[in-house]
Amino acid sequence: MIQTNDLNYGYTTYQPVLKKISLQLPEGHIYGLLGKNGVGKSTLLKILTGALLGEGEYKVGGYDPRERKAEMQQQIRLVPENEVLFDVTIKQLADVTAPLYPTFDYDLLENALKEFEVPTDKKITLMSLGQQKKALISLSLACNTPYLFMDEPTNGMDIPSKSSFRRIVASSISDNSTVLISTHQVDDLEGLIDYVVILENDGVLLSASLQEIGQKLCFGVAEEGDEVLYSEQNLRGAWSVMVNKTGEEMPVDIKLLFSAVVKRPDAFKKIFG
Amino acid sequence: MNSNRILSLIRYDWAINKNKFSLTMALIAIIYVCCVLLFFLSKNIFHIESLEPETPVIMSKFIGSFFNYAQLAMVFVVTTLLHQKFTNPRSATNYLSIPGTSAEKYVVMLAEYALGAAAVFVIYLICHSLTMLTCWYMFPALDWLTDPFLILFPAKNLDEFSVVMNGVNWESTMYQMQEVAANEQLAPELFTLFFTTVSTLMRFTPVITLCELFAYMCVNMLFRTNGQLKTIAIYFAVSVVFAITMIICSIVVFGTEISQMAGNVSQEELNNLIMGNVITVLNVMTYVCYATPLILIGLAYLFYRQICRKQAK
Amino acid sequence: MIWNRIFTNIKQITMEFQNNQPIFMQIVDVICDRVLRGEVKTDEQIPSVRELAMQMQVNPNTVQRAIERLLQGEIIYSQRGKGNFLADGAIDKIQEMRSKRFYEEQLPLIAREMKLLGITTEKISEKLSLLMQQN
Repeated sequence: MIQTNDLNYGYTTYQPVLKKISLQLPEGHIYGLLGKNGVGKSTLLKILTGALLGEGEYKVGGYDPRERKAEMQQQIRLVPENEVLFDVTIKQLADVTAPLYPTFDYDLLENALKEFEVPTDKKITLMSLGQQKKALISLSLACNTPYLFMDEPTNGMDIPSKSSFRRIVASSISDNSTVLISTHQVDDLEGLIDYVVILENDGVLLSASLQEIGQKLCFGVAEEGDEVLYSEQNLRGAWSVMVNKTGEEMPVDIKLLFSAVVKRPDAFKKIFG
Repeated sequence: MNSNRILSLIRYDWAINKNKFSLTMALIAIIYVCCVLLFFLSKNIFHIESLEPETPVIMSKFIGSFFNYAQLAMVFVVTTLLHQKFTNPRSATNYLSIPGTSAEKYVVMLAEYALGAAAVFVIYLICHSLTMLTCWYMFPALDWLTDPFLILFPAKNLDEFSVVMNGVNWESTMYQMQEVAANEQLAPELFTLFFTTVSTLMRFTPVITLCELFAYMCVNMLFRTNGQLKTIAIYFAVSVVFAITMIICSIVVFGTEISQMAGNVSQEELNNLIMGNVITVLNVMTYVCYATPLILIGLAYLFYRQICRKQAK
Repeated sequence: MIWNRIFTNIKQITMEFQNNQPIFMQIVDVICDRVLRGEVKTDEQIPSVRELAMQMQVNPNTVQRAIERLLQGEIIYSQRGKGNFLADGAIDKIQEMRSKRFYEEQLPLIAREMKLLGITTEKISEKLSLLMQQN
C-alpha cells in the first residue's frame, strides 16, 4: 500500500514541484502514472523510493522512505528514466546486485534478457541506448520486489521490444506486486495498466481503477441525451467522455480521459471524489 | 548494521568502479616515478651538485615526503569519486535507493577510503623499494638501503618533515642564519634571510599542488566528470591560501624582529628571538599535524550527516 | 454496390462493438472464439492466468476477471491446485450467451443502419440466405 497525505516537494524552497499530493494506492495493481510534462512524475517516484526527501506524511508498504531503512529498500526498485551507465556486463552487474535483494530471481533475468534479445556479454556502456534500457529494465524486474517503479520505460524502445515489455511485465509480476509506471506513451501500456493516476503540480486529479472508470464513464461518439463531460473532434465525430448511465462497464479510452481530466478537473473530482 | 550487506555494497562499488580505481592508481604510480626522475634530472633545483654520501638519505626523505602528499592526493581523489556517487544525480538516485542504511553506506565509504590509502601505501612501498634498489645498483658505493624505518615512517622527525620537502638542507640554512646574526651587519643579512625563508617555505607548495592538479585533471579528462574540476579549483585555492598564510606568519614572526632590531637588542637576545620564532613556526606546523585527527573526526561527522541528508537532485 | 457498403458497415459495427467492450470481456470473447472454433476440447486445460496475460500482453488482474466471468457462466470449471478446464456443454453455453448479445446489442445496431439506408427486411433476407449458403 502506498499512502501519501499532502505530500510536498520542492528542489528549493521557492520552487515547489509537488504540492498536496494525496494518494491511496492499494497493492496488486499496475498503475499508470500520467501527467503533463514537468508535473513531477519522476520526482514523485524518487520521493517514494527515498532518493529525494519530501515533506508531509507518506509511507510505502508501511515504511517511511525518508528513514531509508534497508528492509524497505529491499522491497522497492526504481528504474529511472536516465540510468547510470555501468562499465560492466549485465551478468556482472546482476552478480553484485543480487545479494542486495533477497527476492532476486536469476531465471526471470535470463528470460527477460532472452525475450528482449539483449547481449549478455557486452558491457552496458557499449550497448545502444535501447539495449541499455532493456538490460536495466530486465535487471530491475529480476529483483522481483513487491514495489517496482518505472519512469518512462518504453521511451526509445523499438516496436517489437514494446510487445516484449508488455509480455515480460505481464508474466513476471505476482499477485502482491505494485507496479507504478510513469509514462506519456499510454498506447504502449494499453492492457497492462489497470489503475490510472493523473497528477498535476498541485494535487492528484484522478486516482481510480479502470473498472471504476469504465463503470462511471463511457467513451465514444456523443448522442442525444448523453451527458458529455468533454469532447474532441476526430474522424468519427465528436469523440467524447460521457457519464455512464447504465453502470455497465465500458472500455476506457485513457488518452481521451487524460485530456478530459486535465481540462476539466473539477467535473471529474465530483464523479470520483 | 549488517556486515554482509556492507561487504555486498563494497563488492558492488568495486565491480562498477574498478576500472576507474585501477587507472587512478596507475596515475599515482606514474607521478611517483616522474618525481623520482625529476629529482635525478634537476639536481640543481634541489642544491645537490653531485651524489654525495647524504644523497640516499635525502632521496629517501624526499620520496617519503612526497608519499604524504600523494596519500593526500589519493584521499582527495577517492573523496571526489565517492562524493560523485552522491553528487551526480543519476548515480545518487542509484546509490541512495539500493538497500543499505545510511550508517552502512557510511562504513562502506570509510572502508573505501582506507582501501585507497592502503593502495597508495602499497604503491609507495613498491616504488620506493624499486627506486632505492635501482640507485643501489647504479651507485653501490653509497648507503642506499638506509634506515628501514624511513620507509615506513618517512615523517619520523616532524621537525624535518616540513623542511625536507624540496630537498633543501634546512639545518645548514639555520646555521647560516646564526652565523650572520653573530655578525655586526644584521639588517641587510636579516632581510636576505627573511626572504630566503619565505621563498623556501613557498617553494614547495606550487610544485606539489601542480602535481596534484595535474593528476586530478588527468582523472577528469579520462573520466569526463566536470564536477571534480570544482573540487580541484577549491583545493588549489586552499593550497594558495595556505601558502599565503605561511608567508604572513613568517612576516609577522620576523617582522617584529626586524623592527626591534634597531640597536636596542643584544646579540644573544636576537639570536634567541630568531631561533625561537623559527622554531615557533615549525611548531605551529607540528600542531597542525596533531590537530589533523580532530579535523578528520569533524569531517567524518560531516560526511555522515551528508549521507543521511543527501538527495538525488 | 450498395450491398458491399452495407456489409462493410456491418462488419465495422461488429468490430466496433467488440472494441466497445471492456478489456476483460474482450478476453472472454477471445477464449470463447477459440472454443467455438474447436481449438479447445471438453475437459482440456486452458492456459493459466499468467500464460494468458503474457500471450495477450495484458494485466493478470484483467485476465483473472475474464476467468471469473467464464467460471460464472459455467463455461470453464476449476480444479484446486490444477487449473481451469473447459466445461461440458461449453459450446452451447457460449452460443447461448453470444446469441443473446447478438439479439440484444448487435442486431439493434444493424437495424438502425438498415433504417438509415432504407433497406427493407425482404431485401436483406435474400442477401442473408445467399451469405449463409456460402460459409
